Amino acid sequence: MLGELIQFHSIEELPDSPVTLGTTLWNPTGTWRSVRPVHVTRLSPCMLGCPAGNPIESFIRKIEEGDVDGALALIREENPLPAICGRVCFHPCEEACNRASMDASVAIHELERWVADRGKWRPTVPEKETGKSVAVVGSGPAGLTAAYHLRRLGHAVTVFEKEKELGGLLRYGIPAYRLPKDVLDREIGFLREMEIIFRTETTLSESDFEKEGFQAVLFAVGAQRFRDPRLVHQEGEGAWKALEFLKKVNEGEIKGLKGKVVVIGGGNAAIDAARCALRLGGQVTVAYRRMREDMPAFDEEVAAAEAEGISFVFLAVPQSVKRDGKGEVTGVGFARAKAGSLDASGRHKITVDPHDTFSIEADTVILATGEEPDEIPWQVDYKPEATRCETDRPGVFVAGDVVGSQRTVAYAIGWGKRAAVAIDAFLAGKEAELEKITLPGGEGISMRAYRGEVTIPEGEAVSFEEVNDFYFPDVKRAAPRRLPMAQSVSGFKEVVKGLSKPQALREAGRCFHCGDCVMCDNCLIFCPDIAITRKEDASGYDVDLDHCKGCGICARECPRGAIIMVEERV
Amino acid sequence: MIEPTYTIEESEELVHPGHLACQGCGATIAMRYVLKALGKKTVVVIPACCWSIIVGLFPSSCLDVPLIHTAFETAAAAATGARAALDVQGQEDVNVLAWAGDGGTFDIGFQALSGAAERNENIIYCCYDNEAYMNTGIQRSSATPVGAWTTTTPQGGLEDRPKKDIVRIMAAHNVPYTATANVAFPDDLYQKIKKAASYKGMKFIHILSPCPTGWRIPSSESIEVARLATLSNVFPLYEVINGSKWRVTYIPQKKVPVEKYLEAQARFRLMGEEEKKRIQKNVDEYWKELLKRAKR
Repeated sequence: MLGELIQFHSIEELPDSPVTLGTTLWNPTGTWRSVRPVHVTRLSPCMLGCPAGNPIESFIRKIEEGDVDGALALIREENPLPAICGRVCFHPCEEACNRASMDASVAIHELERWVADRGKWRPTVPEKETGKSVAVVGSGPAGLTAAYHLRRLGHAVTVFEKEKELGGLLRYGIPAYRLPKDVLDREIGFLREMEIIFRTETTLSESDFEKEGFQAVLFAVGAQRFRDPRLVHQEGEGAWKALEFLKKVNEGEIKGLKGKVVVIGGGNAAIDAARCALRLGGQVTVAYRRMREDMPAFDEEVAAAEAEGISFVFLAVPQSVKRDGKGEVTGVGFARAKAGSLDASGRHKITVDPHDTFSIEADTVILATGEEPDEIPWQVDYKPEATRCETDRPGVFVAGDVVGSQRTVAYAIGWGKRAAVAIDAFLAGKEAELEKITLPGGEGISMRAYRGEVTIPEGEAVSFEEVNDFYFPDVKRAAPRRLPMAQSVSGFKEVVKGLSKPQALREAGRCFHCGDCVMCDNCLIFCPDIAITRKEDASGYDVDLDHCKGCGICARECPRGAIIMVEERV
Repeated sequence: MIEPTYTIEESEELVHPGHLACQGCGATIAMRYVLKALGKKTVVVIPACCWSIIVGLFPSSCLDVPLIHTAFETAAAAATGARAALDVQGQEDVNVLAWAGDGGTFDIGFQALSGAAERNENIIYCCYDNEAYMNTGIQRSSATPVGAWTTTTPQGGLEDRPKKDIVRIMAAHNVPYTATANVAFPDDLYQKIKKAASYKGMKFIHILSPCPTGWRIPSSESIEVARLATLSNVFPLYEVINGSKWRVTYIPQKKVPVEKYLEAQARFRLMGEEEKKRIQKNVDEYWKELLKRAKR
């Protein structure tokens, strides 16, 4: 604000001695400026990395404020399965984290898990029912997520599951040492409390759909169909399809394995099967057709398998299951491959020499050579990667692994959210404006933005160059407590035990909070023109544009890129 | 959760906007925190320097405390007089702050300063050091570091004499408190001024104050460059009590090569590689000696 200029109009008005009569506030030094600072909220890269659209930066801030319940409430606005995500997600958010360029990324997944395990949250039924009814087929992560958000939007939701129990791949695919079943049951329990109806061992026929008065249906049936490697003598006792093996293990039907086990494949199902086989008493070898770095399995999982004593054989292309006269498995025959240049997916091309063969002894073989999308039992057609979840039939939608090629829990949750929005818009007779609620440059969508509670910041995410790393001292990334190795490999108890409270608080303190002003006062402290003041309600800062000279120190000294310099236009 | 956490207390700003400092001026930030630490009961004495312009045109002043403009060589002498006058009036609780640039301290005002220190006058003398006569057009002073360009270093050549070690000289007067400070570390500066005010007698604080105009840097990088000076040990932060007890107040956690500090400023652009290596060696030796003196 400008002050009054003192002027003398005659010699008589001058004071007797040259003394100060007023301040310099009259002087509009703001006119010197060519750029002005603007405090902004910008996207943090972690959030762009999350396919599930978790509000990462803001939930970590809640942890730092000591509000664990508030942190959990924020996550659950977007993601109904944080206790699961925090355990099994491959955390692409951490690869995107700016702190990775300094020391090591923030252990976001451990924080999510900590919040989900510690925080209190009670589900509620929607205040207003729309009177519309939606069927969801499949109770994996995509189906559960869609059901949750559709229910929150006020629709009646019924979930159909063909298996005995709910959870899909979460229950029958992922072993208990990674995801304990009680964690899954608790998350599903919340959904039940929201009055979502679950019907197990049931499928939905087209006639029932009509009869029961559903207005829309979502098929989130997953991708569990066995991709057959067609090996010689593959059929018969002693050779398992990976997902069938994992299902039996998860149901507790396989109590032990004797002798040598060979797992064929390099994806997550292969590693899950291998680590399960180890726990059941097997001596396990994983054979993969390409190299270690080409494995589609999460690197952390491969490393854990190696640490547990599982052997790996690479460049081994399976040819046959070897059986003796009684038909019992004795080994696996392979052809040796040679690694060549990289293909379009960044993996090594291989050339197989069918005459250069070798075999590995085995009593059990597990085929984990991949899965294909399941078939939808209705007459519908849809395009792969149909991001709007639509099919050629109005009111029939698809989501999750059945339509997407990135088959992970986080992507499935992202699909579930998109499907919920697409169906909600369909039921209202509107076009789903997914673009408006998708984080720019990312894949996740914001349900809060869809409900009009927040606006998504525009522009690019804060880069590491915009972070002032001087303000962030080196702090070692938290390592979660783990079950001792001997206990880990002898049973199905959860291996990773999560963070302690002091660990979690320290880890949350490592977050840069890219693009989000935390009122650190740096801009105010370093302003040479005393032009920045705190707003009275502590919601941010005001810039005195009458006096700000536009030096740009505030933007430079902002630790987290939450001030930008905008050109003045005349 | 707030990083960094400052210990600067909430208090009224005694420096007003509308002053005449250039964009990104470090000396203004220095004044803000020195006055925050000293409070309203302070008289400021300013000789010819940037600040005699910054403060504003008659009859306005950007300071909310009494201010005496004085001649170039007389900051310490005028402050001595102000102190005596206040003491006679029984106003011993009022701080007297002499506020001079490097020219008025290292060169022109040096005899008055040395005299006041020798008499142990009860004043706080702050030298805001921007390493040349910046106000009059970047002329070399004895605070100009070796290798820097100025408008009065002979053409083709650079400053070839090292910066005068003013803090050692002042500490050698065995005054109660001598210290260095840097505007990029406002908390350290604030605490040192608070500490200085608690001593009776002569206090001397040498504050590195970046000058975007004279250092040939963008105004936005003013703090960044000043910080590099301390992180690279070119300008260490320390204090000396009674001329004998040395204490380093900031040890850089991540060591930055001197080269990074030099290359951030165009005034060092003409410096050769050999020269940079020599400076690094000198800085390392000085730092080692400082740590030895501080018994670390």
